[in-house]
Amino acid sequence: MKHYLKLNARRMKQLDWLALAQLKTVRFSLLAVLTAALWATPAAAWAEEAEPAHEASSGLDLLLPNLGEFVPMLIGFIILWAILAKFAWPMILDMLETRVNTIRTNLEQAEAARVETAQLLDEQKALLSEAREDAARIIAEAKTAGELARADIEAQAAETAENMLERARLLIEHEKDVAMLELRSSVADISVALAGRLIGTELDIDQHRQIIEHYVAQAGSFDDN
Amino acid sequence: MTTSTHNAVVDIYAQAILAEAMQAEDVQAAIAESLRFTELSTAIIASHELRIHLNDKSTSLASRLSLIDRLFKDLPDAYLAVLRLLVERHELKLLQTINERFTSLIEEHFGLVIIDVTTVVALDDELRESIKEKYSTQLASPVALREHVDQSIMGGIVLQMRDRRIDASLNAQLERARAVLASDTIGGVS
Repeated sequence: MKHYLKLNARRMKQLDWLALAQLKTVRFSLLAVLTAALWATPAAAWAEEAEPAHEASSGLDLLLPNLGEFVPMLIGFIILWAILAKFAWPMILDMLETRVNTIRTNLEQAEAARVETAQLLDEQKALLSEAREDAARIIAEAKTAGELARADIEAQAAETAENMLERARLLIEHEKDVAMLELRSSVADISVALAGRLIGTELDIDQHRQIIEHYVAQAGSFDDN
Repeated sequence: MTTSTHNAVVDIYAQAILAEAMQAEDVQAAIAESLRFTELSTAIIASHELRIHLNDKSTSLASRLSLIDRLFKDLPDAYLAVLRLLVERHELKLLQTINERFTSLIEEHFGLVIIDVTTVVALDDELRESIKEKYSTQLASPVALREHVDQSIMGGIVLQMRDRRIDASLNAQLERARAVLASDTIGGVS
């Protein structure tokens, strides 16, 4: 796009120069044509006269124009020149001027478009660069957050597992203690029941009275209880 | 009922029972009467169903009094009268207190201390005298024994004086042994 715009601008400049050149050329051509016509007519008159007069004139007459024809021709040339200058010349110049202006305007617009496009291109580049930077930053942040989340989850899982193990250990200890307590109680109950049965079946009245006497002797006073 | 009113009511009942007990020939007979009332009150207090039935207001008074008459027909009239009054006034809960007050009145009247003795077998004279001698010396007062026979104590002796108790029964000792065996530490070693 840039290259095309550059090429176009150069070409527009070339065209402008060409238009000016063409204008100059046209002007010069008209002038040349008129001058040629002007000189051709007297030259022709001169030549016609020159042929019959060739025989009669001297060398100097060959160089000098025929005033009787040159002056009208000159007047005619001047009139023609004035007419062209008055009517044709401005019109042609206007046309050329208009074309030049149009071309200049197009060139300016193209230049403005080129500048605007260049600006847009720069802005787009800046936006793209900024977007890339944002994307990279977001990706980096996401990675960091992901790493942190993973570490946090791992830590929580480890802590939860540790807590569960600890609770299980405590529960096992508690159950063991309860079982031991029940076992002791059962052993005590059985032992006492067995002792009671032995006492009940083995002691007679006299033995009971001996026990009573023994405990009465050992028993303290009521103030001790 | 305030405390003073409560005590006054209990005293009235106890005095009525005492009057009946004082009709006995001697101290021992009076002590036996007190024992009889004690066993009566203990039996009623121990029987949850009997207490509920006697306190049931939905049952007619005549029905409840009739039950008293049938269950305790062998009791002296004074004891029966007290029981009937307690049932009629829904004051059976005072029975234990009345019994204690009655015992105190006996003790005050005769100037002695009553000790309830519980054994597996009946006491012989030798044991009886040894107990009396020991505790009359300790308490500096004459002692009267109210003897109870209870197989559940398994052996040994249980002595009860007012609100104090000495439990030297085999049952209590076995219970203590059972508590030691069942504890976490035995002799300081777990």
